[in-house]
Amino acid sequence: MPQSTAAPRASSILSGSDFEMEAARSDPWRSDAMAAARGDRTAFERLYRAHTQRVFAICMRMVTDRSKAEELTQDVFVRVWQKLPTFRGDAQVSTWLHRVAVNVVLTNRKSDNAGKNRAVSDDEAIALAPGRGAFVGERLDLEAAIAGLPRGARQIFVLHDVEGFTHEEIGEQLGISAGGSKAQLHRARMLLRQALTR
Amino acid sequence: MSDLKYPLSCEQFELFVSDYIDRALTTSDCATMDAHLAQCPSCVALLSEVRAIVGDAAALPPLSPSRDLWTGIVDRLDTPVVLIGSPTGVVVKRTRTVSLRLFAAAAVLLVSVSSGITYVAARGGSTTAAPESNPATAPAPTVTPTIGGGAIAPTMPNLTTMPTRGSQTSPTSSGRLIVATSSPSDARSTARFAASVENSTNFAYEREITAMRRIVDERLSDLDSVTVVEIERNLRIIDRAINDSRRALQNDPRSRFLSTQLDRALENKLDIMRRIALL
Repeated sequence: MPQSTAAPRASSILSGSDFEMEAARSDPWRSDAMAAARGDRTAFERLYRAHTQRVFAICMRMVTDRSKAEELTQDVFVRVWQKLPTFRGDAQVSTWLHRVAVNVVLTNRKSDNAGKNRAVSDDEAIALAPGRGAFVGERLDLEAAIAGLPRGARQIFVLHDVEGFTHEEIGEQLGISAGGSKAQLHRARMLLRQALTR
Repeated sequence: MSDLKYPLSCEQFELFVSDYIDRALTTSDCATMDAHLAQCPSCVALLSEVRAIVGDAAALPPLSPSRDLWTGIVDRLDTPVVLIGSPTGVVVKRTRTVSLRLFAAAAVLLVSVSSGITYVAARGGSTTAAPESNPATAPAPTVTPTIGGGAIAPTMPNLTTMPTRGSQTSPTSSGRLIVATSSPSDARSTARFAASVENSTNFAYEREITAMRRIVDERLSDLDSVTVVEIERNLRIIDRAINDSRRALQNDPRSRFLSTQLDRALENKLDIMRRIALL
């Protein structure tokens, strides 16, 4: 059983180059994924144990609600179980799994009640985000500031700067142009700077 | 891109600072940005702060859920797709998303078709197989479910517009046995065999529906009340379609068409329940 749970950043292996194919072939999780695809739940549990924190982190940072993020994490692994038989192994398991996670979160976003999840304006976002000194650690500061971003900017920031997706990939997943993704990312970074340097 | 002309203003620098960090600028634009940095301490600070944010974001650690989620996942894995009569047992699930509107449309379709079938079966008595090519002669549906108060399907749907199974292997296509007979004793034994196949099929579906129902009930408790009311109403409509198909099938147990209809109704119900579980 592989010991490392670290996953490569998404953009490093999503485009299908020889290097990426080689990386996928040497994937330490490949055998567990193949076994799980044949119905081996022990192998699937190993995949779950190894990747749950990263999947939960994606969900949590994208939706900012712990209970919802936990629900989505379960949805992701149920979806992964269903889709494993179609996994062709041309990307690393962890990368594929993160893509499934992002798709589940974004699909959920589309079905969200608009009233319940109304967009937050830039001014509100800055007001909601904690100022410097509100938390002890720098990273906690950043987590809280990310959570305070407007949803669109937050999701693009998480996908690009945290998860490493390219603007083209983000645009494809969100149904926007790469330029739109760039603009939102810039907006998110400026809002975060404002919130963190108040 | 070669939009940048020296000298830059600080506003222009801020506008392009993300592209600068992401190395998305041309060499000449980069040089213009560098030249501005060389003489602007406030933009140096801006660049440093944004770079720190980008660097910290890439290094954010994984997060832990507050509880072990595995049990909840396993519960949902324990309700596998039941494939009846499949030689391989492999099921390729559809990934198409279905909205509540589509739930309602599917329910209308099922009720309409079942009503027509029931009518045809009742009129035709022991006809072995209902004609599949002329469903438009069936009577108009009596139930018209709505979402948000609006009528969804006021007209009788044609069977050619029934949703296809896509890549999913259907029980009918993979396993049901409908045998043509030539003598009364053959016909009786075939009817018994068909009934037995039907019973085992129904049992398998019922078992999965019962298991799914538990998960759906759990999910419904998290959804808002309007959605729950609509889901429950449409599930009831589909149940009515299932009952109609079963009644028609009792009159004509060897009808391939009726059998297919019942399968479709059951499969649709399961499909909807699976999707609700993932809402």
